[in-house]
Amino acid sequence: MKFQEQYKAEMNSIEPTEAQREKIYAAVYNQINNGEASQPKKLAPSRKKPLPLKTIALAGASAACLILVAGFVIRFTTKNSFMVDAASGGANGGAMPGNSISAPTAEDAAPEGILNDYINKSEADEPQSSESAGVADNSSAISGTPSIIGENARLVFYANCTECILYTDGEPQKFVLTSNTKTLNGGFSFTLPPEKNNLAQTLHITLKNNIIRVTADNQTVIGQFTQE
Amino acid sequence: MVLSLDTAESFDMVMRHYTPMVYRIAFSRLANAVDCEDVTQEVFVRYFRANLTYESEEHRKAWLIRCAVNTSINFVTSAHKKHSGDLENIENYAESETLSANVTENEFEKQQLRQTVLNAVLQLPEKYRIPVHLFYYEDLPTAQIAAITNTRESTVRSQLARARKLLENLLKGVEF
Repeated sequence: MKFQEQYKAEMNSIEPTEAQREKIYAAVYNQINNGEASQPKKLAPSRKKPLPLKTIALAGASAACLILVAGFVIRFTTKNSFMVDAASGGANGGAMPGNSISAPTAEDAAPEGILNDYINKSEADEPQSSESAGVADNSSAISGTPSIIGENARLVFYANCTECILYTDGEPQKFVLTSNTKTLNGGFSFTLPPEKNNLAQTLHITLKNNIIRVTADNQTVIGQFTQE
Repeated sequence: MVLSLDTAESFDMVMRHYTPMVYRIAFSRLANAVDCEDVTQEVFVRYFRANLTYESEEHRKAWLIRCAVNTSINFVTSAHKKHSGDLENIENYAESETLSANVTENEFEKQQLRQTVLNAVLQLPEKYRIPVHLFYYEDLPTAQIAAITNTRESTVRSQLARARKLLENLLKGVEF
């Protein structure tokens, strides 16, 4: 503040003398009177900045584009998940989310039709022949070793769905999934890792040296057991 | 005080009222009495020619300040400028000061201090002098200074900061 005080005090002493003032005023009037026509009155430039209409229009257009893109994204993702939910809709009535897979018991009833529809619409790389041929419903009979597993048998299950299908060299077999992790005689069971519970994925089952190994798409071994 | 521009008398009142302010703004930039007269004259001729209607007295003052700043800046680069170098102008300023024989020693020291402070400001680079004057003398906020000088507020703040640093060096050892 000291600096400001001194500066102000000194600046206050800086002003034109009387002689300088008269000289300035005379020069101003001289210039004005020498043919300077008065201009029509106009408003001084406003201190307020005008609305940036261009910026607002650009922002609005960008927002509209973003909303459109978001709408498309939501539409497509919603469509896919709806397909999965529709497939599992029939199973919601009493089904447990697939936390473990075991060979179904005789008490398990497999809902018919829904899974077939889902198979036809599924994006999983199911063998076309088995889809078109339909799926044999063995749920009521499955209580033991599946007839043939084969070298590259594939067990497919779907998100929020309590059925799975075992694709082997023979007829595809449908199983009802339960939370029962008991190993049945000759059957197979394994518990899915929790983080994969809500993911539809293709499981690969291989049989080698009497060891049944279940792997996921990314080759992660989920479980293995010995065929009895 | 609101002065309308309806009559020549009003224009005369405005000119007489704001001449010191315009003169000082020019001086902070030019530090030369003759140049300051020219700038002051130019500002009021422009003011008359513009013949604007102002929303308030503050608006009129802001317009005059801006005009004085721009005219001073343009004057430096114009062909009419005869003097060169700030030091010469400062010397001119210093030599023009006359001390009354009745000034006491205390008052003399005060005058010397004020002159030292002003000389230090006049030694600043030209681009810093207007912001320093508008901030420390006219008490304008940095936002308004930025609008007047047509720069960003951050630029004004950094100019003031650098000016303060330079002044610290120039006024080292000076006891306020």
